[in-house]
Parts: sequence; structure tokens; C-alpha cells
Amino acid sequence: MAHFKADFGADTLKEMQRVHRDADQIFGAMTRAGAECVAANTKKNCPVPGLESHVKISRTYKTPSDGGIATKVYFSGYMPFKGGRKKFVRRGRAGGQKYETTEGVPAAFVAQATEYGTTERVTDQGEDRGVIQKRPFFRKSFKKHEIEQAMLDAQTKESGGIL
Amino acid sequence: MNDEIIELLKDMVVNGESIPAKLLFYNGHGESYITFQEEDADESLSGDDQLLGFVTYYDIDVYTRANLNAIVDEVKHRMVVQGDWVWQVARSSQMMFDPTTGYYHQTLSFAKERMNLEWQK
Repeated sequence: MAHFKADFGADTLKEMQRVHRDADQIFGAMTRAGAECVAANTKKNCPVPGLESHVKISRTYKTPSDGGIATKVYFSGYMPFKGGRKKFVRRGRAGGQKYETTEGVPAAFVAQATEYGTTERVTDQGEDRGVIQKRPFFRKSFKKHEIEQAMLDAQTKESGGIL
Repeated sequence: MNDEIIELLKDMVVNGESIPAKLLFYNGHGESYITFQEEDADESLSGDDQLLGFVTYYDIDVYTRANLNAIVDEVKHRMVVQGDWVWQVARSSQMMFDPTTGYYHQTLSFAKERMNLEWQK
């Protein structure tokens, strides 16, 4: 019967063992490369001045429930109030809680209002601040082919060219 | 494409309330309404240095002080079942609520592949 015999060099086997051992690290680097690609696009597309500096990349982590490896892109911190104001106060409705802050406007809130728009905004003082017209920028920053390419490049680099 | 969505969402009545659908902006006073707009387009097929096909994404924004889920379900039914659009879960928003106006708001994203470009005809 015809048969085929192939020999791997010891070096190749060692490399394959290393790739198997470092799989989590390789996958982590791949997700980070994808996240960096998205963060760069988000900063580029951001329509609100100052919001781009609040785009952050999380640490790479493993989810305990399914063993998935992920890196997130998110908005962090606060933006200064408009018009030089130092404080925001919202009186509670009947039975509700009063809310006040001197921190500023949460960047994630600004991002959401920009991405999806708002209804008519009226302050407690009765000041009409109009509608924020939606300007989608975050979802547009997830370009599938760019993310895949960045992840494949990271895979090749981290595996030493084996994958 | 805008005409197609207007046709799909016209004469919508949910729980006895008529829901108007307008492009980009609706100037209303307290009633439920829907706005829609193109959100993005992704190149998907090219040939002979020409764009042959692409995927277009539309946002359908539902605003209501009543039952948001009922309107959302009706929009999904019309877009997906009657219009052959694909609902984009990851591009759609969560439920939102504006305490100053009492409006519930949700953005639904739908995608459709387009091969025949109007401007090429």
C-alpha cells in the first residue's frame, strides 16, 4: 500500500508547541489590534470637538463564563459644561431624587446623544436647549475588513509566522 | 430607497394610535413618531474598477410616550418580513428614555444589499 511519511524538524515542533501554549496571548494581541483600529477610526470620525480624547481602549481580558478573550473600546471621563457653568442640578420629580454634579457631562452620554440623537431638551429652569440631531460616528468606525486585516497581521506577528 | 421605506412604514397604526414616519426630522407635539435616515454604506462588491454592489444601512428611530415595544415589533415586522431588510442587532441602540420630555426612544438599524445603483441607470 502506498504511504507517505513526513518529518517535522524539531524547531518547527517547538514553535507549534509555543503557539499552542501562548494561544491566549496571541488571541489577546489580535483583539487589541482590532480595538486599536476601531479607536483610531472613532477618533478620526468624532464630530464633537474634545470628545476624541475620551476614547479609550480597555485592558485585554478573558470572560469567565465562556472563556472568550476581548478588548473593548469605550468612552471615559467627563467633558466640561457648556457656557462656563460649574454645576448641573436637576430637581427631582415628585417622589424622585434630586441630582447634582460638578464633574461635568459624562463623555459616554455625549457620545450616545451624538450617535443616536435626543428629543427636545428643556432644563429645570425652563430653558429650551433644542434637539441634538444624530450624527452616527461610532458604528461607522467598525470597518470589518480593516479590523480583520489588523487582527490577521497581529496573528502572524505573534505566532512568529506559523499562523 | 427613501421612497421604499416611506412605503413600508406608511399607514402604521399601533394600539389605535397612528404613527407617522418622516425622513430625518419630525415636528410634532407629544405624539408617537418615527424618523429614518441612511446611516452608512459598506462596499461589498467591486469589478472593472467600478462599485457593483454595496450594503446600505438605515436607522429607524422610534419615539413614543406609549408602548415602545409594540411599535418596535411592528417596524421590525414591516421592514424584515414585508421589505426583505435585515435587522442589525449590533448597530441598533438600547432603549433610551428622556426624563425631560417623557419620550422613550430606540434606534433600529436595518441593512439591505443593493446591486443596481440609481445613478448608473
